[in-house]
Amino acid sequence: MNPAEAGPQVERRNATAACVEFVQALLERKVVEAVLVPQHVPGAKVVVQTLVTDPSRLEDVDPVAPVLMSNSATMVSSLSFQAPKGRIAAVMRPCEINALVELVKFKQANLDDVIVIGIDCPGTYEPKDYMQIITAHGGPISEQVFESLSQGETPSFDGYELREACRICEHPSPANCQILMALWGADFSSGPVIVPVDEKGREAVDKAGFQSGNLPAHRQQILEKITSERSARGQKILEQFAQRIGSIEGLVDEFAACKKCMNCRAECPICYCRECIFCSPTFVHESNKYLKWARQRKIIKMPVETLLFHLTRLNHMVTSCVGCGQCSSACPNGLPVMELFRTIGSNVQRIFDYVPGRSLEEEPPFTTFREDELEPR
Amino acid sequence: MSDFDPKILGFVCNWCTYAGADLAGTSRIQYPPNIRIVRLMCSGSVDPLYVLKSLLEGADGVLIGGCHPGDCHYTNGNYKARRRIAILKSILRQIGLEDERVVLRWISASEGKRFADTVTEMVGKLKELGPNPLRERWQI
Repeated sequence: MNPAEAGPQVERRNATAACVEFVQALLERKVVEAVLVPQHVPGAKVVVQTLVTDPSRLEDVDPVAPVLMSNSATMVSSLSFQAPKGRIAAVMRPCEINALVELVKFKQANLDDVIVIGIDCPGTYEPKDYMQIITAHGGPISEQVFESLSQGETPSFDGYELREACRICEHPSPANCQILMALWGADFSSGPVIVPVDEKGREAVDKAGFQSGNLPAHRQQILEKITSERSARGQKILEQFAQRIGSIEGLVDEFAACKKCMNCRAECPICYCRECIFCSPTFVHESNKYLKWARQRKIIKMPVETLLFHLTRLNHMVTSCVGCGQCSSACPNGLPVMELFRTIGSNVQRIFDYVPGRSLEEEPPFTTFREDELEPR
Repeated sequence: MSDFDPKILGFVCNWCTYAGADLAGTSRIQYPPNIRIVRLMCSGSVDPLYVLKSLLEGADGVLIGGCHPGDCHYTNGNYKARRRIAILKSILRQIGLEDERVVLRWISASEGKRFADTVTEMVGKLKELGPNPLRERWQI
């Protein structure tokens, strides 16, 4: 579609502007000192998170753009773990909020002075796909995304698929936020509906001078439809994947192309260790060690410890994996890291009836124990 | 398979299982010499990484030994170990590696016999299972 044919410019401004207006009001009325919000980089075809204190610097805000360069839970952690003087608001997708909930429980983030504005999520494209789509469309595609969401459909652009993590995501709508920006089923021309979820959210919405909106009538139905479609796909994909890695040979084949760049770990919002053991002197081996291994085995894969890396990371954080899929997006060789973590994660999380991101109160499995559980007793 | 001699690595806690192993020795209880012991302060300090590294380097089995519930020198390290090993075993099962290769057992300082029996039992089981398939892979 040519941007000139994309409908009246005014209407488009209305839809996106409605999103921006609220964030702007939060800054103008000093409800918060800064907002963390996705924004187009002028002149570049990417959308990045920006931390903004000046309400006039929100002209390229686009929280609906279907792309997620990195999971902002990590950023909110950096912004809040030392309890800064000054309140911030963060516009976040469901998977980002779920990851943030986990980080709070690991004491890596402090939400006392953070207002989380959760936004309904249609799913996201790989950044390189997003760039191609907006190049083909001659500009941002948020209005098309709005339109799909208002009709309860997953946006679709010829020849492109959402990231697999999003296609199997059961969280099209955020939980654990203070304010909800509802998009599913919302009126396309007037933009999202702003709904305070708790007392803190209500206070912020009041101070910003906004009326709290009513949730769109068909929203619940739409969410159920999207969730069931995506979980059905997830079940199928993950069952097939479980078969593929169900033997050592299968697992080794799937991850044969791993070169241990550790991008998956760098992008993982849950991997919060400042110093990963894989970067520590523990893994600086004596030169002779390599020869010793090669003598023992006759042949070893270099670099070493690629399988150990993934298996260890699974053990260390799969209980809290929220399935945002940034690991797979970060992999230069396209390895199914997300599939591995979601497949194994669902079974491991079930042992403890733990759902990452579900609640701030539930303790992560590694931080607690019960005397009367598991074997041996 | 009869000439297969399993290699077992044991991560045992300083306060209970290591003393139990010592008692097995001083009491001259006979058990197969297939285990190599690493003494740690607590079963709760066993990072699953240690077990995985052992298996990927070709150990046929791994024993993690700790104090009985309620007896941990650090109050609850053994309960934490139990959760970690449960997760590790679930992961091993899902990637097609027999989780019986990893054994978590509570062995007190007075249970020399139990330590010897545990090793004997593990050697028997590992002979049934055969060599660790990871030993033949390129990947470490």
